[in-house]
Amino acid sequence: MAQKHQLCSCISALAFNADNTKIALSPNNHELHIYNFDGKEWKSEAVLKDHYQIITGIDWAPNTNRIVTCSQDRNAYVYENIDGKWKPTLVLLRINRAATCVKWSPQENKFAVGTGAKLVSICYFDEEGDWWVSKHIKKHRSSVISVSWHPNNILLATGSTDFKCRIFSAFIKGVDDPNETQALGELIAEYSAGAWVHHVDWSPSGDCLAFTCHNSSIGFMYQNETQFLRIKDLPLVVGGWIGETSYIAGGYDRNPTLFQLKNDKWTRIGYVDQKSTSQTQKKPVNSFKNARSMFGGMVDRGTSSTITKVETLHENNINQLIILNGKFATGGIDGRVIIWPFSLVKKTLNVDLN
Amino acid sequence: MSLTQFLENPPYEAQPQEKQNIYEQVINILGDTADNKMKDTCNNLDTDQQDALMRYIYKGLENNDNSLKLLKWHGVLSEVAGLGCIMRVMSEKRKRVL
Repeated sequence: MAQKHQLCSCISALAFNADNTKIALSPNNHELHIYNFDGKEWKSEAVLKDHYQIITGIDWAPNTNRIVTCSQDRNAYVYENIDGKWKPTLVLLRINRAATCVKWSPQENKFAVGTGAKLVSICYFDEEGDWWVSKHIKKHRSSVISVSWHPNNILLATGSTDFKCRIFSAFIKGVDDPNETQALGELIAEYSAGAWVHHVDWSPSGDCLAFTCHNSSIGFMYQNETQFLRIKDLPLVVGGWIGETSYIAGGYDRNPTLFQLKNDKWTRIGYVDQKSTSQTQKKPVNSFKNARSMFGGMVDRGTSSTITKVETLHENNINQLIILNGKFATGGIDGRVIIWPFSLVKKTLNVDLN
Repeated sequence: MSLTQFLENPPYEAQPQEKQNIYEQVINILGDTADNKMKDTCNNLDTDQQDALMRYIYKGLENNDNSLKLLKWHGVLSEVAGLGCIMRVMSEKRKRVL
């Protein structure tokens, strides 16, 4: 059974800690809320008000237990837990537009911030100055709305509103192994999608890059080919890998969708949130009659007769999706965090998740 | 040429005059198709052809060409191809114009 938690009225950013006992989120404002979660109850641990505009991205490093947040106020903070209190350190992003997303690298010694200033800030800790400094990757023609690190800690994929999904080298001298030959900001590969690239995601082994676009499509990019699927539903905005052959994505449909690699071809399996008992009957669409009755109702009774009931657990778009241990969590702009166990996915869709 | 043949290779890269020419022929065919044949026609199209048909429908609605019939086509095609088809027409207005 999926667990539904109503935490606030709208979620703009979400992150879980390593053992999924704590959650950091922003309720679509400048505050960072940290909760203790024991599976049933939520206890507020801290409310941090260092930013002064909406927090757009939160990432929690599993090994070093550091939280990085980025906001529309063009700043990012790195929080460390010292004696039970979260101490912020300002990061100099040197950007003149909002930050849109942030991700720790796999070795947690750098993080990437996507910005509206058409660039990505790669930030690392400078020991001499005792502060976080940044280097910029330019070459984008518009805002960067999604970033993802390859497992080798060097390659970075970006999704941008200039309709392209790109792979760059984010090599930092002094932080990364000097045997790497690619320089910072070097463009390795590029794919031109038809619309905004909402989300990019490397698979756990780094062989495949999944990206979702606003034209209701999803692409899986390998080194020698790209498989591009067009779907019948509304666009997908977030996603996560389950193993190497399953990908779960969510978006404007309010329903997580599962994709699987079968016989070397990616196919859409189906929605995870389905009513098991009754099949939702699709009434034949007779739009003229519906419109007439709606206006008729408004004239006669002063009410509109069409009241739509939402059939999914999320009442509004899904805009966060995080893979946890044995389950995944989705956050929506309805302020709900819903935890879906993998066993529910396997049972509903009758599939195997490796 | 039948509708399926027109939708097989939509003239995305053609000159405006040729696009206008083909558009007029397609709209005539859409206008002449009987209501009960619409569903079968839509079911026999693949994704590319469905996207092209939806683009023609929207272009026709923009120019106010036989709107009543096109609205019926829109309803039938939406049921078959889904909201994703409409999303692709709306979000790819720069690259894929018919």
